[in-house]
Amino acid sequence: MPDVVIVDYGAGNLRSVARAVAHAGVDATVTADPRAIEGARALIVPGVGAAADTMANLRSGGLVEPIREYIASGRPFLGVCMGMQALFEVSEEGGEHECLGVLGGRIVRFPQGLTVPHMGWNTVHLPTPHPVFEGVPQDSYFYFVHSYHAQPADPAVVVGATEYEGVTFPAAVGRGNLLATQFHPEKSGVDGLRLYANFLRLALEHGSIAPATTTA
Amino acid sequence: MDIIPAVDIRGGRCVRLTQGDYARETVFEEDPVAAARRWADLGARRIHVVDLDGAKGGKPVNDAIVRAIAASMPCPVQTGGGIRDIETFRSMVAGGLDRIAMGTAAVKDRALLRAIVAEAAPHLIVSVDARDGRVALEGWTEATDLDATDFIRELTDLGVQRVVFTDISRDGVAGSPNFEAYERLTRETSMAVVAAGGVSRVDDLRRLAECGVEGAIVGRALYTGDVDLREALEVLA
Repeated sequence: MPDVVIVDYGAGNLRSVARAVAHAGVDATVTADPRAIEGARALIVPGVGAAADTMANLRSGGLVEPIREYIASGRPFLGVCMGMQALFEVSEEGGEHECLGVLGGRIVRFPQGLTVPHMGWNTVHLPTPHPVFEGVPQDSYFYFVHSYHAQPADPAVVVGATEYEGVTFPAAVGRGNLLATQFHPEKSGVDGLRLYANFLRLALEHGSIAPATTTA
Repeated sequence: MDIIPAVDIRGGRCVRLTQGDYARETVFEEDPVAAARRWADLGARRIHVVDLDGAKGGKPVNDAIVRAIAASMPCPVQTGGGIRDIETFRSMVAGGLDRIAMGTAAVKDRALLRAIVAEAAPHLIVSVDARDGRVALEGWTEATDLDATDFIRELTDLGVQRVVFTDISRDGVAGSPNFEAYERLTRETSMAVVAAGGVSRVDDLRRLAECGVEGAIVGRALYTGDVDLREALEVLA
């Protein structure tokens, strides 16, 4: 069973994510096999597109329970873009769509009047340091493409925040060994590649990506 | 202002054309993926890939290489050249291309333009070629040429969000971009304008930034070394 698994559920940005992982010198397996998820030491769930399609694909692929159980086991997890939004309870995109419910809260649309999607480079501010962001300067730029954003029930899960046209929203969320980003680190240059490298190094060498003080 | 290195592909190789003339080609770097990576490693935050064979033939030719660049660059990659229908447009976006530049088809087929705008305006760039502030547009209107600013306003009314504006008389030749034309476009329209053509020195980029353009595509000057990308990125940081 492979150590590092990138979940393939028909998401579309797999090659870029796989490339970023390879750049970190790590061998990853891109797969839709639930058994690979069960046996992984580091799991990455990428994704672009809409919540409804994402959840439909995860369900039809039999991936919902394996992903939930993996996260519940406390092993290192990285979610990217839709891989972050799917973690919450409900997404308002295209209706009311039930998601994985791993994190409390909703995915909501940017308010009327803002230019959507939020598409471009924007800065991410960390309220406190996080090991996966080690070596990335405060307020660095990352690349975003999304029309909806997370509204977590627990503000303590916010690892990084970004402001877009007056709205501040979570750019990254985390709890224990789970980290997820709204932006695409695989499209965010050197800082994004560092994020992948940190995640993988911490996961594979230490089995932990969590900050030193955590209650989760 | 984004500084956007261009990687032009012909016959699977990275080349530069002088003034859009296919008979005046120079090969700078064989492997287009390596060329793109060179710019990404120096800090480029966006790359513009042109399928020259596709542009000439009206359908993608170096498709696989374009997608390979998009998949392997740690930054957004946009492309143009031979994309003339909505299926190809969708396929390229699904394949990891951040934005798709369309010229001929967008201009000739207004129904197609409306359909793409309705579905994916943020991912569309309309390519506009001009000479001295006038656009030569076969198929747009009865007129043989049109004031560029008027044309850009029409595109804005149709919902187009972004254009790449190329002054082809300066493309690939050591001259200067048409600063006055860009300045007028950004002052008189709400379109996001990306400049292309004629950048020969870092100072051209500084002046383009002052014109208010969103980005500047740089080709030949990067490959000849006339523009040092790292220096340019620092100057415009």
